[in-house]
Amino acid sequence: MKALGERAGRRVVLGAAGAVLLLTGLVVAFFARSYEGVLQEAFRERSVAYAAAFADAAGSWLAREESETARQAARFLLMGSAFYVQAVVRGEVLLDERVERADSLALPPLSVLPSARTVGIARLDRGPRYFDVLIPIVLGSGEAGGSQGGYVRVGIDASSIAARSRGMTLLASGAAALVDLLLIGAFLLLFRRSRLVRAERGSLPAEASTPEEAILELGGLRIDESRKEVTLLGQKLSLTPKQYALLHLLARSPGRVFSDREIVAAIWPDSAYANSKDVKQQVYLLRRRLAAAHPEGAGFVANVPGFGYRLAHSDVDEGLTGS
Amino acid sequence: MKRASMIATGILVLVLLFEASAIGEGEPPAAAPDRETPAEARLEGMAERLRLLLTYSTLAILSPTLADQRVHVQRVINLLEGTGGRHFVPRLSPEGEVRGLVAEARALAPWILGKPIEAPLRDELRFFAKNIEVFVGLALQAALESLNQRHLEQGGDEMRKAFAFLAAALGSETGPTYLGGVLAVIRLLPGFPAA
Repeated sequence: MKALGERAGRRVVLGAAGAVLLLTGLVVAFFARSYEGVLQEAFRERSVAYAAAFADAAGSWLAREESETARQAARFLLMGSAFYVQAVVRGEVLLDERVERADSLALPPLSVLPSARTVGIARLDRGPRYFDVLIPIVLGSGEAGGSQGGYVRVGIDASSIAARSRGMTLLASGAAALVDLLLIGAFLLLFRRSRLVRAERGSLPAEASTPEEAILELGGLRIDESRKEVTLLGQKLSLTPKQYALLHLLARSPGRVFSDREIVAAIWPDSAYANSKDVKQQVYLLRRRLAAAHPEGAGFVANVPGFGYRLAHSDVDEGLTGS
Repeated sequence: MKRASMIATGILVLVLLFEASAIGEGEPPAAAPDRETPAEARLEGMAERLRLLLTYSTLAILSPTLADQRVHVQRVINLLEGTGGRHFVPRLSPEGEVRGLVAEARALAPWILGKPIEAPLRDELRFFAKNIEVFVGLALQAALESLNQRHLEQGGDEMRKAFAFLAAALGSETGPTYLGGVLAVIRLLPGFPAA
């Protein structure tokens, strides 16, 4: 029964630990996903604004036929996170600057001009993801030579999102692992404590629940748990609560040897200072009370040298009946 | 006597060396007024470069990553300090030799003083030139500060300051000219078509 209880307790602790791990794992996964989404959205907005600022400037440079200035600025974009910068006006590519690994990327002029800023996500040769940003531009005022529609297309490396997200996920995982350790540690401590308590209680018979069970009779010794009364051969003993608790503890498992530690845990459960000396003193006082009721009574509490104390009622009974 | 003169010479050499090193570490080298370039071209060139600086400052502020931002900030620093500047990075100067805007702004006031302009306008233009010099210097400080930042947002904040100073240095083509700016100088300088 005791082993069954222990197994069940172990299962509860393992289940709770598993639940904690699962829960924190789910929280971290959810957090990582949400965080990456937030980062991606912020990066997307920033990339569009960045490309638009460049497109605006490039549009005015190209309108003034300062294509070299536009090309230089495009190269500065490539030094950062841009993979390519393209400017197309009336179907003609006026500017096409790329990093080496984007050389093979097919970027033909679009037949339909974008009417608004558009952003797509693409992958560079199974490599990093990037935002393909299209910004419409208009060259000229339309008064003299008429306005010329076109667009600026910028590919911006988005792999930094994943890197930042990974960093934050790692941090969150670390925090989650710490929470796991604390919670599982607390579970284990609770389990260990309850096991100790059960071990102490489990060595004793179950608490008396009925009036019949509440009375312990061991030869001439009778303990009425409900009335907290002890009689020896019909003679009532006057015991202090500690002496009573000690006798009751020993009487519930007659013959079993109780160590000082077990007795301290049972009689002074809340005291951090009680020790073997207190046990010895209580045993001495209990023996005196028993001896006062009957000359052989002191023998009820037998000392087992090196181990502890036991109730030796059978040994004493012979003496009691003999006298 | 001979020993005393040697000590004095030594001290003089040390003082000269210290001053030389102070000049080297401090501001970008001052540009001598370019008397060969016409006034219109000089001032228009300054205005054009300020517009270019505003574009790069904008790109730095809107950069999606710190790496992008640093490229544009460095570009701003290069254009402000010019070739030979303490923080000038040749790799980010595809046009080769760059005449620093800080040095050019510093040379603006003496250049105006050399012009035959009547007193009230001359004083006003000198005041504008001083403002341009200060604004451009502050823009350089802000850009350098931006380069020291480790976070995109903080770097962007510094570049916002640089942008504001550069915009003030450029001034406005229309409206009142209380603090001046290059466009105001162009408007008021006698001999310009706009004046």
